[in-house]
Amino acid sequence: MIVNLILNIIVLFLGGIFSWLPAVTTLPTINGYNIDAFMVQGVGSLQTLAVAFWPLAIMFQGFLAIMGYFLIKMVVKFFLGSRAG
Amino acid sequence: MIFYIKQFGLFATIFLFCFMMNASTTNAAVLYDSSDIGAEYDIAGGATSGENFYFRLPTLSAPPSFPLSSGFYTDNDSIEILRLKRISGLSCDWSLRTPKLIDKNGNIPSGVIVSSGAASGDFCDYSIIGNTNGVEIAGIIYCLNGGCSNANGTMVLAGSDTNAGITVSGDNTQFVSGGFAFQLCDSGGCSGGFETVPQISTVTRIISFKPDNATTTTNPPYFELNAYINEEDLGAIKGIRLSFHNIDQNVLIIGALSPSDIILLDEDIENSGPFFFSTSTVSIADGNYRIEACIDRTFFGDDFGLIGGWIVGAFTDVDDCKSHQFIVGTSTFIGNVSQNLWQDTQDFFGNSTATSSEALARTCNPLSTDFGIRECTVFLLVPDPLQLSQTMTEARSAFLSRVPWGYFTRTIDIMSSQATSTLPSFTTNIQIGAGSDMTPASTTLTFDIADMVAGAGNLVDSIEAVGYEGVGFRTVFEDWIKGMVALLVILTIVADIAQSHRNEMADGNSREGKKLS
Repeated sequence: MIVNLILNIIVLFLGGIFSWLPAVTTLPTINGYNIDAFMVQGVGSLQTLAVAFWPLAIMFQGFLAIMGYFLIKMVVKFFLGSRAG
Repeated sequence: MIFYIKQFGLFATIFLFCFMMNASTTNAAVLYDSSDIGAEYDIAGGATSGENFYFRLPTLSAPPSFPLSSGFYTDNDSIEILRLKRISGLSCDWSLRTPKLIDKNGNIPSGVIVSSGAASGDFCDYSIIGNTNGVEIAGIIYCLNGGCSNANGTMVLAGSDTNAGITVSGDNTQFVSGGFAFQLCDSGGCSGGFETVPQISTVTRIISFKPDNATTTTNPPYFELNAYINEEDLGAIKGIRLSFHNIDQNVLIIGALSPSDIILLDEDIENSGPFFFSTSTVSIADGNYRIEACIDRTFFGDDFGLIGGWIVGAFTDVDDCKSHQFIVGTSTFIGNVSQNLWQDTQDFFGNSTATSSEALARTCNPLSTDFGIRECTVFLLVPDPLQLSQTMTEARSAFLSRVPWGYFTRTIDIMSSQATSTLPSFTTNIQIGAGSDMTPASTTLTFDIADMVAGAGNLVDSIEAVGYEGVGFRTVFEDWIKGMVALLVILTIVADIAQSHRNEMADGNSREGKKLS
């Protein structure tokens, strides 16, 4: 409970600090290319393939796991800088 | 269509159903007894002009549907008296107000009339005129005037939520368990019964929700939520939610940015009493899911809502969130792993006898019989998974969806989404046979990628092991493929960590070299 309380306070504090930033609902359009629509269509197509051919679904899940690891690594490096290693 | 159960006091009229479950014969004169009491039912509460108070007999499922295949009483003797227990309001003998019997088809039995009632102490005895022998009686409806419209006052009857069946409002949209108490008696008169029974606990809590834990269901699944809101907690309760999310791709490392919950119900609580919700129209893909039912609490008020509520929520008496897993169709490897990890964590760190945060808090009270240093330490230091999940949800909406990291969140949302898109198909004209520049190709050839991939999938699934009937390619190789993919993921991560560490050591050595020189 103490850990939960500390985390909640941190989230509340950060939420208050960054509340003035605009919310992101879709990815931007660059040079006329709607990145959000492209990604939605692309991932949707992958999902269609995954539903139709089950080994693709397993590979896609593994891909997401790797992407998650690299994302966390990027966030940690961003906050810790050179100390992240 | 989504059906709601609102607080019982808003119902225009009350109406009770279901005979067979509590059928009992207290003496020779009582033919049917469903007379538990302990609660009050105002059959005119919230009535307004023009509202139809005509109530159908509820079945054991909501909404009611006729004809009933069970849950009715077949009369073999002639029912002479219907007894209700009046608490307050209009008197028994008002001629414009009589209950009526309903058969299993939802119709009033032909020739059966319930005359105006006569007071007998606290009871209202209504004489039943006409032959009821062989009539399959399924319930009682009660209009407050002959046309079942408009209310001329209120009438409060004794009853209990432990009586079998459910009570339905006149517009067929609101349902509560149990209803007012009654007896059906022969010419010997009614007696006995109408005993007070303990009512269902009135502690604010999530009672049950479906699909049940660890069940496998078909698509679309049937979702249901039963809760109770105590009147004294109304000021501390903001709303009630029922949601679920896929746990196949929501592995722990990307849990914070995982796909959003699919919210089935999220509404404010304005009334106390039993709460019911159900739906079966949400279609989802096969896989493992975690469903969560929550009662959200306020702390600073509605403007702060959930932000304040979960900070102090763990220290209140409200058992606010419950969750469990269910499977649609076929379970998945990652889903089972994430579910088993969660369950193992709960088993290892959780107090097996504690069913709420309040119960865990008692383990820190040295004067309590539940006191335990280990459990108390776990309670204080080990983060609660459900609270963590709520915290991450709040973090997501508070700043993870803001510029600039909101773009990463959106990217993860897209990549973790299960929505599908139509694959393009390609059509080309080909020439069959001799052709010329003057004659365009007239035959078209279409390549439908989705169809081709689906065909490949069906072909693979149709392969069966020789000599093993029913053992297909997928049965044999699916776990192998999952294991290989998991191994590749782990090796990729380990290799990246090792490479990063090697780079760090090389940088450190070069810096040492520069210092020395």
